Amino acid sequence: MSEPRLVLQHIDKHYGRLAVLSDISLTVPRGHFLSLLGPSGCGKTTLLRVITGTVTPDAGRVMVNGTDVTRVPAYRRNMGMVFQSFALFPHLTVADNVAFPLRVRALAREEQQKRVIEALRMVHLEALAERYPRELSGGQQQRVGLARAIVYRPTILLLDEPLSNLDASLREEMRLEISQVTRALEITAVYVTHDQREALALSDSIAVMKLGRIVQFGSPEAIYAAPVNDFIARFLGYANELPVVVGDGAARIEADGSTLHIPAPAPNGPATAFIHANAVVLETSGAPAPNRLACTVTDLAFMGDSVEYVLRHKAGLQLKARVPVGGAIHGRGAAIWAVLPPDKLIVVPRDAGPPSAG
Amino acid sequence: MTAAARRPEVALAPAGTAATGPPGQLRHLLLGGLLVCPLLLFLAAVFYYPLAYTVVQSVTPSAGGGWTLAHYAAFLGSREGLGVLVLTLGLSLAATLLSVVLSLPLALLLRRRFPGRRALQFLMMLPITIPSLVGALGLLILYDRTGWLNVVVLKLGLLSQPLAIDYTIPGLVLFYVWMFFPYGALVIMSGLGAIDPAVEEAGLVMGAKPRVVFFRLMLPLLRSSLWAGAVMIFLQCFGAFSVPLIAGGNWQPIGVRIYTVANVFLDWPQASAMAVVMGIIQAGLVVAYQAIGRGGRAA
Amino acid sequence: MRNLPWVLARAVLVAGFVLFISLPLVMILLEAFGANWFGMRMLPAEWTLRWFGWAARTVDLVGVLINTAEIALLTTGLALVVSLPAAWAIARYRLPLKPILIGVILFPRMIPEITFALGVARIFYDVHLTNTVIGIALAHVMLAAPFAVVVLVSTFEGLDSRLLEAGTVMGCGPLGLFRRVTLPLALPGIVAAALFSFLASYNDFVLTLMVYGADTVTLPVQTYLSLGNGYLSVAGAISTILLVPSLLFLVAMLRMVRPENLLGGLKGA
Repeated sequence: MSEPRLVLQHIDKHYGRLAVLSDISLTVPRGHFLSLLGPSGCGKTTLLRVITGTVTPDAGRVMVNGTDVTRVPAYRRNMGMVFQSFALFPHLTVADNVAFPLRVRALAREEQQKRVIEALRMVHLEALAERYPRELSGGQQQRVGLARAIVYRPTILLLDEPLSNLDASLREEMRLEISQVTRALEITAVYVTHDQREALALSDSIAVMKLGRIVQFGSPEAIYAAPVNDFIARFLGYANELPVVVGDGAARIEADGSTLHIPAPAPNGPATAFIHANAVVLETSGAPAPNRLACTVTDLAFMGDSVEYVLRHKAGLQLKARVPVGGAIHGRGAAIWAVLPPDKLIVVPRDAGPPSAG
Repeated sequence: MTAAARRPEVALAPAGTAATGPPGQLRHLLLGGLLVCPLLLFLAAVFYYPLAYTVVQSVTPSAGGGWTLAHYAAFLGSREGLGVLVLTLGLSLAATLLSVVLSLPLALLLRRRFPGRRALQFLMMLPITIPSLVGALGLLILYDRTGWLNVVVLKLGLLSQPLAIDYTIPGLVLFYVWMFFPYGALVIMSGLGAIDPAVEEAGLVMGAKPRVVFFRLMLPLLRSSLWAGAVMIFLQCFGAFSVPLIAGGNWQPIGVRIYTVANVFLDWPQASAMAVVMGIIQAGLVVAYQAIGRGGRAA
Repeated sequence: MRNLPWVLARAVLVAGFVLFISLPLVMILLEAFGANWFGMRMLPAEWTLRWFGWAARTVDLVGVLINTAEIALLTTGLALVVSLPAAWAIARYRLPLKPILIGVILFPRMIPEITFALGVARIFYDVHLTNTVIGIALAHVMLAAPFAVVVLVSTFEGLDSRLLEAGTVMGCGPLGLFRRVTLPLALPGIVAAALFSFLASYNDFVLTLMVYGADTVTLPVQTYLSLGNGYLSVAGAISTILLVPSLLFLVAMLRMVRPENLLGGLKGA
């Protein structure tokens, strides 16, 4: 069994009094795609820089292929990095940009040229080799950045929110490109983002971070199905949350005390029940069903392929329901039943402490 | 020199070292201090020391030891001394007013794009880019009794006698305007550019006529630029040397006067006292300029 | 405004302005390249280059030009040597009392040249630095360095740290990073600082007037001397040579920068 590509052990980092990273530990196997997911300020970018070596941790170890590299300066770690702002050298052409790390390594001219063309071909940009960065669009610049980061076959590829500076329409295309390239090269990747859709789509595993700690670690499916606390659930886009109290295997909605059927036993105490907007079923007929709440439509918005309703429960709760276009449209003020299928609910203890991963 | 990865929260550090903690920051400070040293030592030797020397000279009596304020008294208390100051300030004030009057329409004109705009900007920068000596020489020739202006004026029969411009006070004011108005124009143009175009648009849409928009909306917003520009021009006029030296004739504003007292009358202490006064006034103007700049930005 | 009166008025104003600014320089050219220009003549009677030859013979124009260029180059070199490290430290290190530091560096351009020229003249005289190329260059550096520092600080502050980071991650050690990334990116700023310094020295009059000597006459000083002796045409000829760097510089600047953004430091008289 080969060494894991990257191991972080108990990484700490402070800036003054602020603890930016607290006791971070991670293992990343070879060829694995890991995402660091979290809101701004959670420390994910700092952690990335601990891996590249531009930031030295106050405590802990960074191990690459079994070797301790914590004291090795960044320029000797042979890692690749793709930047949010592209960071292309404005005074060099695309080809020279991509060739830069090869020149630094004093590779032979012909070898340099060969690899540069190879890398540009991977990102479909051979035609623009002689242009300057300022002549390229954002998407093209980022592809050059990607080519430049992999041309020297780095040990680990790090990506710092590479899609954030791109137009929304380009993001999906670029995301696919990143996925294809990393898979084709079988390269180990660490990807930083605040967008859960990117993380879920690209990763083999996700580390959700908050305030310098890893609050959940696991595969995208596992995390999506079972977030361990309300912060993560909200972050993953669960649009509806109902404060409940769990007692003796049953949950009661705090607002009006009515019963909420939950899928599995949950620890007693205060909790939050989450359900996705597109899991809520709207009914006009009166056939009883578990978790059926009487609501009024307060607002609706046409989202193209679906309609998003904002509903108000008699006890004051607000719910969002997203229904595919094609069914009946319910107008403002209409009375309606909102059914929350128990198997689509997740119940998370409130104020749960963050378990660490890895 | 090492590269620095800039982090918002931490002091900049050479890559690979911990910048937090006393040892890292101290080393940082020493390195930074070392880099600034050559320049500081140089300035100390070639600038501050001579400056201190001049200040000391200004309070040294012409004979004997000790300190005296006699030179300052001789300057500020005498008719000639005050005359010099009045002349300098008067010239500067007049030139500043005229320059601002010239700069404002010019700045407005240069706002929109039109063919030849670049050329006009180039022209506008000319007086402050070329050595003032050359500009002064050209002005002297142009406005001479037999220069182009007088030739045209006489040929057209507007006057029967040539205008005396060179070596006169009005002439000096004119020359100052030519030399220094671009300083103010640049400041005003910059201020104009900083006004959100939406302000004008909003005014027009709400029904105000262009003239009203200008006087009620834009001019107030330009106020600090106008003041800053005026102070800038005044500053340059006050410190003018080449122009009055060549084209001032018998009129000697303070810069030229200092030179004369030092090199012709060889009264170094007196010249030093005058130089110190001039220095203080000019430094005060610079401070005023920067204060306006800050106040304007805060508005 | 499409109405004719306005357009006409504007055209007249623009024409007047163009004449106002450019005519004095036209006069210099006429004086330098013309002969028999006196009385109420608009133009010289003949065009000639003889004044330049005259100047070369009688006031050693070539020697003066060489002096000026030598001093200017020396000033530029010295100014860069002291300003580069200082600007780097100011731009990228956290130094205490930075505003005061910057004020100390910019102060030479805030007070009139004559004020410190007095002191410099006396002190240089005492240490035998007057009438030497190195002496005048040293004096000029204090005029040039503030410009250079302002430009260089702005340049170094503008260096995108992320580019430096990218270079480091891709394998550049400290020296390599400086050579391959920092220097090329900073080069335009360094060139600008060098140009400013050169120009500040080449054009300087007041300070040079106080510390020059028979062997170290510069173009501005010679212009003044010739004028004082009544040789107007020679003064004109020398002025045309004086003008060249400034005009070139102006053209270059306007190609690259918008005029409103130029007032970074404070220029002296």
